[in-house]
Formats: sequence, C-alpha cells, structure tokens
Amino acid sequence: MFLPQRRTGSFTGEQMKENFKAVCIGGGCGASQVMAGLKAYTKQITGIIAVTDSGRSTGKIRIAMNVPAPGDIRNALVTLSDGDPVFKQLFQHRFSSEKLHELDGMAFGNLFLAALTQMTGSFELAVKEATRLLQLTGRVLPVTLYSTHLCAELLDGTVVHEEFNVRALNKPPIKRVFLQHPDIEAYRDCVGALQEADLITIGPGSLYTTVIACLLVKGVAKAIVESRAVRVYVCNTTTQPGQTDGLSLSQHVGEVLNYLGSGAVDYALLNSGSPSEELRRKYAEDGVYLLEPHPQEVQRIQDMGITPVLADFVDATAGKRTLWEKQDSVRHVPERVAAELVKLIQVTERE
Amino acid sequence: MTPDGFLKWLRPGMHVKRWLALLLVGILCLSLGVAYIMTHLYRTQPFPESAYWVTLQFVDRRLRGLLFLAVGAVFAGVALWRLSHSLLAPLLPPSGQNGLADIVYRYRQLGKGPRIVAIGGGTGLSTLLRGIKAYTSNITAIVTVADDGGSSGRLRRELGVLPPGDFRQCIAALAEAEPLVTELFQYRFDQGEGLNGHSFGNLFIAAMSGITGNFERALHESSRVLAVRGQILPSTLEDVVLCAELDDDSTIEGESQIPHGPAPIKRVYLRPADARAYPEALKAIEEAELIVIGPGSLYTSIMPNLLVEDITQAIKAARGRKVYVCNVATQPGETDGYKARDHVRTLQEHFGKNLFDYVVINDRVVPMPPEWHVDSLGGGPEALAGLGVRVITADVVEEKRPTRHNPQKLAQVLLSLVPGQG
Repeated sequence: MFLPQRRTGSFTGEQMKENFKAVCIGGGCGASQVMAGLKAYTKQITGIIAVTDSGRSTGKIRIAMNVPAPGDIRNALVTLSDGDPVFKQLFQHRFSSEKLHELDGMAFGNLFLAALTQMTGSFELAVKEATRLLQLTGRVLPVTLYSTHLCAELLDGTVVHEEFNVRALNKPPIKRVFLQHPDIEAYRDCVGALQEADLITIGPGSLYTTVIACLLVKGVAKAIVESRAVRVYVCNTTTQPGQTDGLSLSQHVGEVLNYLGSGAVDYALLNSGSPSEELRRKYAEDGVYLLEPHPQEVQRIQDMGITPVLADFVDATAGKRTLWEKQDSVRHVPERVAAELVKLIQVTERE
Repeated sequence: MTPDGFLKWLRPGMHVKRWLALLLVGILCLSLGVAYIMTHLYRTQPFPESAYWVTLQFVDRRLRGLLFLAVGAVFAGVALWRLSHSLLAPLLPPSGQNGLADIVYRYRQLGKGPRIVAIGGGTGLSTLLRGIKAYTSNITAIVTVADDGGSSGRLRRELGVLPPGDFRQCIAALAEAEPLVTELFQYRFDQGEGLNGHSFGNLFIAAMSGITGNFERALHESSRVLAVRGQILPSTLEDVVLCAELDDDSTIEGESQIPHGPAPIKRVYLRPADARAYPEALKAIEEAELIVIGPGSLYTSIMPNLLVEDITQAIKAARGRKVYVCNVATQPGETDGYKARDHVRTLQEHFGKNLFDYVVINDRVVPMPPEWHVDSLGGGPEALAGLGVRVITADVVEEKRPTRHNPQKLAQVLLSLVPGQG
C-alpha cells in the first residue's frame, strides 16, 4: 500500500482536537452522518450540501417559493446543532394535514429557511441565521446559492429533468448527469473551505443526485483536485434503485472519478460488514443490494490509484426505516467512519 | 471600564452589592486564616531564604500590609470583572448596545414592576403590551381562542390546532429575541397555494403544538424560545365558537362571520357556554395589581374572554384595580354608530355593573377620513355620566393611525392607575 504525496499530517491526539479542518461534501443524510462522527474530533467542520433536491417537502416548497432546496441543508443544520433540543425537534417536525395538501408532510425547518430567504432576499443569510439560532458547531454551506435542477441523460437517449425524476424507479440506467444551468458558480465560501481543508470527505449518499450533484457545480471539482487535503470517498453500503441498480463498488468509485478527474481521490472507505441475512432479504425486496468489497473490486479500485480502506461500518442490528417517499439504505455508524477518517490523517510518514 | 460604568453596578436593586460584600468578608476570612497558619508555620518551621524576599520582609510592616491589600484588591477586582464577562459573553444578545450593567439593572427594575393582567385580543392588546413592557416584566396577557378567521382560522381547520393568531401578536410584542427573529415571526407568506396568507409565526406555534403535544406547552415553549418577557395565556383551552344573536333574531356563528351580519348585534355568547377557564389565567387575575380590559374589538376580541364565566367571576372577586380601555374608534360590522357610552353599557349588560371601576377614553374626537366609515370616540367625563364608573380622559390616540391607541401614551395612563403609583 503506497502512501500518496498528500498532506498526511503528523497530528498527535492532543494537537488534533480543534485543529484539523474537515469538509464533508454530500447531502442531508450521508454527509450529516460523517459530520456527526467527526464532531468528537474537531470543531472545524464544514458541510457542503447539495441544493438540487426536488422531491417531497423540499420539492413542494421549491415549487411554492422558488428557493434552492432547503431539505438537505436542514438535516445538516440539525445534525451539527448544539443548541436547544426543542429547536432541533421543531426544525424536523412535519405537519400532517389531510385538508391542506401543500402543508402536508412539510418540514417546519424548510418553511423557516424559505421564509427567511423570502424575507431577506438571500438564501445565504437564511442559512447563516439558522446556523446562529441552532448554535452550530462548524458550519453548513449550500454548494451554490442558485436554484437549479439536476438532469440526466439515460442509456436509451432520453433526457429527464429534476432530481425527483433522475432518481425515479424503473427507467433505463443513467449514462450521465448534468445541471440545468451548467455555468452556475459554487458558493465562494465552499471553494475557500475546500482550499483550506485538511480532510475532504465525499459521500456517502445518493451517487448521482447528491454526491455528483455537488461535484457538477463549477469550481468544486477544481478545488478538490488542487487541494492539499486528504481526500476520501466514503462509499455507499448498498445500491440504490433508480440510480445505481447493477453498479458495482468499483463502478461507484469510477463514476466519482469521472466527474472529478483521475488522481482526485486518495482513499476510498469501503464497508466490509453486513447486516443479518434476514435484513438483507428485506432490502433485496426493495431492490437494494449490499455492495461487497470482493477482492477483484478492491483490486480495480487500487488500479485507479486509490487506496481502499476496509472496515465494518454498519450497524448490524438497526432495522429498516420507513422514510417518507424515499428508500432506505444500510446506514453507516458515524463513530466508526470518523475513527477511520481520523486514522487516515494521522498517518505520520510522508513520502 | 469607565468609572461611571463601574458606579452603575452599585445602583440600588442590582443584587450586586450584597454579594460583593459577602465576597469581601469571605476574602477577609481567607486572609486571616492564611495569616494564622503562616504565623504558626513561621514559628515552628524554618523558612527558606527566598521566603524573606517574596514576602517583602525588608519593608516596614504597615507598608507591607497596605501593599498586599492593594495588590490583592486589584487582582480580585479584575478577576471578578473578567470572570463575569467570560461567563456571560455567550449569553448577551448581539444587538445590545447596552453594557452588562444596564441589562442587569433593567432586568431587576422590570422584575419589580407592577403585576398587570391585560385581557383582550388582536392588535389592540399587542399595542398595549408594547407600551407597558417598558415599565414591568410582570405582565400576563389573556387572549381569546375563538378566532376562526385568516391564517389562524385556516390552521385551526387544517391542522386542528387552537388558533395561534392572537398569541403570535402578543408574543411578537413581548419578545426580547432579536429583531430578525421577531420580524420573521410576523412574516406572512405571499406565495404558494396553500402557504399563501399564512403567517410564519402561526405555523411556528402550530409546529410547536405538534412536537409538544398540546397547545399549552406549545405556547410555553414558543415563549421561552423567543425570550418573551411576561406570560401569554389562553382564557380557555376548550375549542370554543363565538356566536351572536342579532337584532333581527337571526344567529351567526364564528368570530370572523360576526362583523358581516345583516343586522346589528344584540348579544354574543360562547358555544359551549360552560367552557372552563384556564387555571393559570385565573391565578394571574387573582394576583394582579391592575386588570386591564381591552383595547380590542368589543365583540370579537374582548367578549370571548369575558364570556368564560370563571374569568369574569375572577375579575369581580379580584383585589386589583379594574380598568376598561375604550376603543378610540368604532369598528364596522361590530360597533357602527356606537358611542363610548354604548361600549360601556354593552359590557355592563352582558356582565353586570361591577366588572370594572375605571374607564379610559380618549380626551377628544379626532377627524376621520370618511371612506373609513368609522367614528372617532372620545370626549370628557360627561360622556359616561350616570354609568357608575370613574372616567379617565387622556390623549391616548396614535396620531398617525387614529383608529389605534399610542402604546406609550396609553401605558403612562395605565401605570398611573396602578394602586400606589399614581
């Protein structure tokens, strides 16, 4: 296993606390989990969150008020919040109303962000205010302030628009994804964060609609490639119907490199643990299959110039969740992911 | 810190001098204790050479004493000051231009302010609250839950929560949270099909109801989260509907419908008629020094509270002074053609003559634009002659909006009525 010529800092345990700058790219559930785990090691965490979501309550509010997607940002804000627990609960509360369709299922936090955006005219200000009110450790940044949509060209040539459709089930596999407005710039604080980071994590999360959706924004990929940080791709535990049916572990990694450029990722965290047989069957019923690090997959990843890191990241006992209009996946355990990440930046030898 | 700033800490009522004094006594005892122990050690143990220099033995004893006293005092003083700032800095609101001393002073003063209960609803009540919050933090606002119009009404129907509208206005009036949050609370969505017209504050309270499981706790948590000075209580937790019997013997149901009836209102009542009062509200009335009824829409804001029988009984039995603040203008659909006299008489007809002893009316009639279709209400004491009430006439109207009271002017008048203050 060779060591890349990256900034593999010689952080000792004591020095490390509050010392290293972590940037986690992704969405509401995946990146949030990584950030939650890293909280125990550093206060300087920045989350870069996708804003092209168009489903569920986020979708409704985007239609209603034409704002960038607040949903994933909301989740990230709540994860990093160290404030009043009531406020956190409030943000995640979903209204249920049979009579009012628009409000049904709407997360209060989304309304908060949308209202603040409308009132002040700035999504940036809304996120900053929410950060303050929720007393965040670290910060959450939208990958861009522009409201745009994710589109995909499928293998059979058809093109679908909007994230909700990009992840729809029962359609031909995705050939490539792109943004409706490909020239939109990344939020400048994101680029700055990436440039100064000691650790950059990508994922886990929906490959196309979350991870690559962030990488597509102009400026992000470049900042990652040029950064001196340790760059880690946290691979998904399972496939995701509608997006990655039939894709293998190495193909996931390959797709990320496609949009970033080769040499842009140093390590890939691969899950070697697995839930019980029964749970696997339940997931399989929904078309969700475990991504297993078979030797030939691991070899393929190594051939891409990336160092694979295998560990058991999953919670073997946790049951399936019912998410509102979304499929569940096997979740990473935040503490284990963070522990592995921290080991990676603690490697003391330099080349 | 300026000498002036330092003196602020010594003002009466800060609860600072007493603890400073205790601290001084404590330090004194500590010093004495150390001195005794040192003397004992000095006499029984050999001391190293350095001790001689460190304790300045070469200096005359009196001077030595003064020196150590001075140094000790400076160290302790600086430490205290910086310690309190370190501990409190994260808690201070960022918008404050006030120093810490001012904040503590205000907190203490307001905490000793008179206990005032204000009963009413809507804009009128929040106007009042804005005015009196400068004088006291012992404010209890009792608001109506019969609202069924606008965003409140829709939320009531769509989400099954008690109408939050009046609470929201009162919370906004009493909140000490920063301006942006308070502004957000008042923000009304103007886009989106289902969201349109809803005020964000109402949704906030509705969401709180959702997570706390009941309206009472939702109010409590909302108030806490927004740093509300004082308390805001519903007159009842029951789902009540306001009904009106009109002059033509027809009935109208629903607070928002009542101003649009075909005939003038004869009397109003609640359904159910025996709604139980919210116990905390009764307690506040019992303990109040001043009970203010109004301002607010006579039939649709003030009455719904008084129609809860226990509330009215509590007011009559209370020892505090009771005042009715009459509207400064009539309201279309509710009080067309009414004079100040008619307002008072209506209340007396519904609840008896011993509900309040004082009435505040504006001291003059103010010109109103004809297209508003409202009459200004005002006059001298003769306006309410023969009704068995003491009349207070004062300039309480808001110049720029003559259908409303001016918060500061109204507050001054009411404060002068507090027993022991006027």
